[in-house]
Amino acid sequence: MSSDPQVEEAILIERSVHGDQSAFADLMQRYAGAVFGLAFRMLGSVHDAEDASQEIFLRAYINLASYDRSRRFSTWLLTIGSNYCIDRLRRRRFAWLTLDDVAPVLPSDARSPDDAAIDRESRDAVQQALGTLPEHYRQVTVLRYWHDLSYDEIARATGLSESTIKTRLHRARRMLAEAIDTSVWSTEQAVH
Amino acid sequence: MEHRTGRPLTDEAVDEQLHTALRNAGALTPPTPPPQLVERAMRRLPPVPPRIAARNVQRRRRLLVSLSGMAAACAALIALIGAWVVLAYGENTRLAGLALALPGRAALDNAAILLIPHLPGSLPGELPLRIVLGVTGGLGMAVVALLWMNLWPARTAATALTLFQRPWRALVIGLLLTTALGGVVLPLLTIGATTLPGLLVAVPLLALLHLPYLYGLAALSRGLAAWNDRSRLSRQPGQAALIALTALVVPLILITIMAPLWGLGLGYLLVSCGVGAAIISRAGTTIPS
Repeated sequence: MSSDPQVEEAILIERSVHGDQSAFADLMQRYAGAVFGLAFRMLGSVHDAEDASQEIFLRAYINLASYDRSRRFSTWLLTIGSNYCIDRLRRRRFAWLTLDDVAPVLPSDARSPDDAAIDRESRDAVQQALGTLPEHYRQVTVLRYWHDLSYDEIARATGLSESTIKTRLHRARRMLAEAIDTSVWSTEQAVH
Repeated sequence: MEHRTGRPLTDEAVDEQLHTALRNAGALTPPTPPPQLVERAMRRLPPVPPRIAARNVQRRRRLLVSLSGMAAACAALIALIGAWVVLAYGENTRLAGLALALPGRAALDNAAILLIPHLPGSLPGELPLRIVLGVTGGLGMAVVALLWMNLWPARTAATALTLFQRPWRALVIGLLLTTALGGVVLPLLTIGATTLPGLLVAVPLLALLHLPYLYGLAALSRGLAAWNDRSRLSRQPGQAALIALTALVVPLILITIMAPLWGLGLGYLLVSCGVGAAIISRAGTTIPS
């Protein structure tokens, strides 16, 4: 196998498309951090993020045959992830409609030290401020600042125009700045 | 946007500044994913290549749409038949008589008549009416139960598993709930049905109250389908669940046609187990250890 990570990734994708689940497991291993991070930033809870990550990988697997190889795999995966998180946040507004979670494969209730550590993180100021943003603003903010997606990539992921994304990011920055304690923004007074 | 020094700020510059600020605050450090995330996700992957999995998902989606349409059609048909029965026969039908007299003494007389299986023909048009109501009602139940199974495969599986683990507790809880609901709701519905606005509220309320029972029926069918092989519960409800559902619904329809009250009683008795299991498992979100 080639040592070039991109070539290696392409081979893994090809094998996964043909039903090789161990290859897809390797892909999941590569992107577990990114997908979990996205879900955690969007949903704000470790348990939701874990469940969402599993669902995102499941959706990616099901749609793998329609993956456009000209796009970066990570961007495609994050697109699926952010759209799923938006759906989940919308359903969360109507609690009675969220009864589609998978019970037998639910993450266990036992909390690992990692969970506790991440929970502590969820209490940090930035995460709390992120949680106050409307879901569409949160989506573009997370994709832009936590996953370094370009405006063009965010536009393709969300189906919005670049100008709309810029407007949303602009407003999101303002809202974030208002929500976060000013001490965090020692170097960032220019946002206002 | 303008910096306080007066220099105009571009989006890129602001982006960069916010990025730096977030990095300095340590907010960009990615959270560590749970160690078994990939392993758990692997368990959820369908055991077929993506192309086939996508096709199955499409098929399932189409099935759900068709089932929803059929459920709505059944509900509409039942409502139409009910309206026709009331308009055409009024109090002369025994079914209507039971509904009208439930809170009073006459309920016992009506119940006695309905409890005894008898041959048709005592009232003109009664058998066809019973057949139509029994078959439509049974089909409607089956369709909604199928819908539940397909919408929430994992939840109905968890409820079925609870049924295996706590059968008696599920039955007792289900029966207690049915008795309580019957005691409170039936008189209210009967009173409500005497006025037109009351009737408008009563019908949807009755349908709504039956949704948990149909979920119970779905769980019961899945349990029955996995009687010999519980690993079936970890898969999508398939042919076995459909056969189990048919095996439950068809005898109920036949009994209901012959003796409506027996059919109803037996139906509620059976389905109450499923409802009890649904309560214990909190609608399939937990499994008792």
